Amino acid sequence: MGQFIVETPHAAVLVWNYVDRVGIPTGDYKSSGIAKKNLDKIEGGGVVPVIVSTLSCISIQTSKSKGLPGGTFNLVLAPFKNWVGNLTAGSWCCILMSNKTITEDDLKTADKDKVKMFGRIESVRCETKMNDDGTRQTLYYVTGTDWGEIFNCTLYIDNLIRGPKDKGNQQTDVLALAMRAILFGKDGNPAIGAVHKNLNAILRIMGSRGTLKSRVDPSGEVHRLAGSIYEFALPALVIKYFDFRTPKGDKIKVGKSLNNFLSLINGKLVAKDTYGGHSEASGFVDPFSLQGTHSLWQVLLENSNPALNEMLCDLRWNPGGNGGVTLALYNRIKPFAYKNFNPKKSGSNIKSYFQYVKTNVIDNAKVISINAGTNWRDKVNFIEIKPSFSEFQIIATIQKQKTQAFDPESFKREGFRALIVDTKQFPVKKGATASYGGDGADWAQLENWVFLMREWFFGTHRQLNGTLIMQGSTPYIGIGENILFDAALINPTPNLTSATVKAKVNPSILAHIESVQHSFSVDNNGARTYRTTIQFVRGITVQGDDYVMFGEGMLDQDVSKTSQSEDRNRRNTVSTSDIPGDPDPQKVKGT
Amino acid sequence: MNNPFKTVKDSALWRTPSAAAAMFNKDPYLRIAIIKKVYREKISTELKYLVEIQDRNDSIEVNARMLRRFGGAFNYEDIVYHGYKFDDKPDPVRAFDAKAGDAVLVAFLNGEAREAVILGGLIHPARKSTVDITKGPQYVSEFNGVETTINENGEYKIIFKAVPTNIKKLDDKPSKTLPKPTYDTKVGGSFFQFDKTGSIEFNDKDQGGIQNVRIDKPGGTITVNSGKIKLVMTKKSEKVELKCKLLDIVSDDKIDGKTKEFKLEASTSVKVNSPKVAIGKEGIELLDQISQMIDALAKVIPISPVGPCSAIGASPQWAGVVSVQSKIKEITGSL
Repeated sequence: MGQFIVETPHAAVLVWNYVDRVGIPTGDYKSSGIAKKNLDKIEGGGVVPVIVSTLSCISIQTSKSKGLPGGTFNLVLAPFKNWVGNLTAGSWCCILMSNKTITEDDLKTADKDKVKMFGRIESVRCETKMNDDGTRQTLYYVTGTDWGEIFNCTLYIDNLIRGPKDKGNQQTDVLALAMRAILFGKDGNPAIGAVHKNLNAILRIMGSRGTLKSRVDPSGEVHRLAGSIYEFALPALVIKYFDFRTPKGDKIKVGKSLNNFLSLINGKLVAKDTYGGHSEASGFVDPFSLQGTHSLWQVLLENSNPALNEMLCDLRWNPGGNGGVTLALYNRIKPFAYKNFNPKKSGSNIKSYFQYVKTNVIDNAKVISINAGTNWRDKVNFIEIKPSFSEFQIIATIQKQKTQAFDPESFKREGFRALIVDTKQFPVKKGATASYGGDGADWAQLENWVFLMREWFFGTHRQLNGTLIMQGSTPYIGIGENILFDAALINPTPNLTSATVKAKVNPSILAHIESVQHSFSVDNNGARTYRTTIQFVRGITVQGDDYVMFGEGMLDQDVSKTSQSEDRNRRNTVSTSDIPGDPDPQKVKGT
Repeated sequence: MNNPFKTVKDSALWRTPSAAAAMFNKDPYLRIAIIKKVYREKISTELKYLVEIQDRNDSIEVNARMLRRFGGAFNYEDIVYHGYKFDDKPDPVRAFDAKAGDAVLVAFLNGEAREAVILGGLIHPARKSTVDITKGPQYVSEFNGVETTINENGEYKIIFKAVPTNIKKLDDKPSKTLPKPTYDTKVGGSFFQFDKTGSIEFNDKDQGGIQNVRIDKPGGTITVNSGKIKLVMTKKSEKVELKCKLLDIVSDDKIDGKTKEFKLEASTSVKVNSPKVAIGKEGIELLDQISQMIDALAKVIPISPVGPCSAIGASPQWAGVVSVQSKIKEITGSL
């Protein structure tokens, strides 16, 4: 006898609560959250774990999308405590939601099947309102952001403020100048650097370690750490809980600065969820952007070669198969190439295959609703990359035609739908001469960028995008990953593409995750509801374990008409029941 | 609540404007800067400048190119501006008036601070302008100790003052307001000038006695002075006057002089030292005439009381005369 899948969801919030509130009473506080003089007296170094269990929890919502570095969360808590007094805004926290039981061990060590968001609390507020019967009902509302919010911190190099350890006779900060040397090269001469090196240099400002070379004597050292004086620091308990690791899975033992645990993952996908660290372009950093006028994310994005790359941040679990988690900042070549995918080949040096993106296989039985369709709004029929720099030698070597791609036939129907991309980074080739120093520009490679962008953007109107709502996910589903679901969920027949019709196979849909939302709630009667909502784009038809494209992968015109008997999707997807009347097919069919 | 009509936007196409703010940020402002260092970029060999810009209380170092008056392959202008000494440490003093580097105005190509261009110079805070504006249009400049002025009368003057003697101190790491440059007056002071009369002068202004060449346009003279030596050429009277203490004239091959009247006056002696000497006129040369005279004398027969004697040339002592005659012939030249 078959049965419905019955799962009991669980949720908890673990808050590493700062016992003090910064600035009171003396203002002399360590980042761990307690006055330095009292630090040793308090267990946990000024941070006390506070657990918000399902007993206190009325609802939890988390949301994270690719477009912004920081996700958000909202908690609604029952008045078992004065949460305003008990939770300190700014405290780091971890939100756990799962269909597996959350045990005491899960509050000691992060589990990829439980953790759904690592963030910090922004506000805690209390709302009391009177019911119709005159009773008062109090609820607490907690909002916060996920850890990616650190990228929204404004970056500021101030070479006029002396660091606390600088000698008194140095009226300005030595480090600031040394950083400039790293970022902008000797004599400020535009130091054309590979994109990932520039990003790492910018990230180093946030506190990770490295030595700085003298700008006067490049072979010398100023014997200073390339780190910020003031930076985000994580409480020791947080570090212990997450067991932060490098992308290769090595333990990170150095420091408490959040940036020490941050890892840049770049390049193209060379195998399933494996990045090659490829250097696809070079550029140089704008010295003005580091003076407090932009957030770190904005500065990173500007130097990320956004024409070819996409930048996002998320947790990356079990790196190298060694357990733990990586705070990953991805700056990867957009993994939207899907044509001619051969799982045994990684493609050209800048082609990053969609099929290699980490994929979460969605169980049909867990899908509650799905909304999928085409989107003409994202259709592009003209692409041009406009190099945004003024060196004579560079300009002279660019052939405009090589930076353009267009589909003239579609102009007649669609009008001119242009994607014109300015780029401050450009492909380089060793050995070519360049007036700016370093390797020369490789405009043949720029032409390849255009070819690639054509594949990414000219067919988006034939790919599926939409929203999938499912029972809460136990595994962690990250943004920028893929989902794989049964095409039968949206279409009962093979009638999706001409290839599937011909093969009489209803394939799978491989789609890209734009955003992930989790919501957990406890009703008045104690019933728990846990839902995961995934917004996806770029859905294509694939087959097999390697997700090889089925036909063209995209919708086409040559599909047969859906037959009358197949015009309704009567498949039972929410139950494994084999009882004919469970659920009643007629009811499911409707009239 | 999920809206079934809502289309999910692809973030690869639809950027969040706030996240992309730095990408599209343009910097249209002109900024004041001090040149710290000039260097030649290795590959392009272009002159580049490391400039320190003050931007809303921040010091920002930027690499800059220089705007030039000419940009042709054959029409060009290269200038190496002035920097100052600095090292890995911050400048001990922030004030611009303590830094010897040229004060310049910087703009950014395409509004990108990556690509700075020096548009020109500004008055340096350590220098006070001394031009008297009430006199009218004037021009004053100084570059590496060469001062150029054009005054209200249009008089153009280039003065060589030489590199300041305290240049090392001026170029040193900034510590306080720059002192005034000092110049070596033994070396400096030389000038070239057009004055308002159209006259032209080169002058070394040497304290031990000037040396100059002055072309006096209205006076019609060229005067060359070297201390007490004076050479004056007067255009109108076609007169040349030379006054000096010692005059040596050396000509390797030939000196020709031609005049109506030649007067040579020596209070002590006049010497003519030459293998051949000719004095006289066409067909009559003095030494030749003397030699002929000796030959004629040799033929003279004296008449004694006892009658005619032998010719003088037969005298046993005549050989001495012949010897003198042969030496006269040796130095006898021709005209």
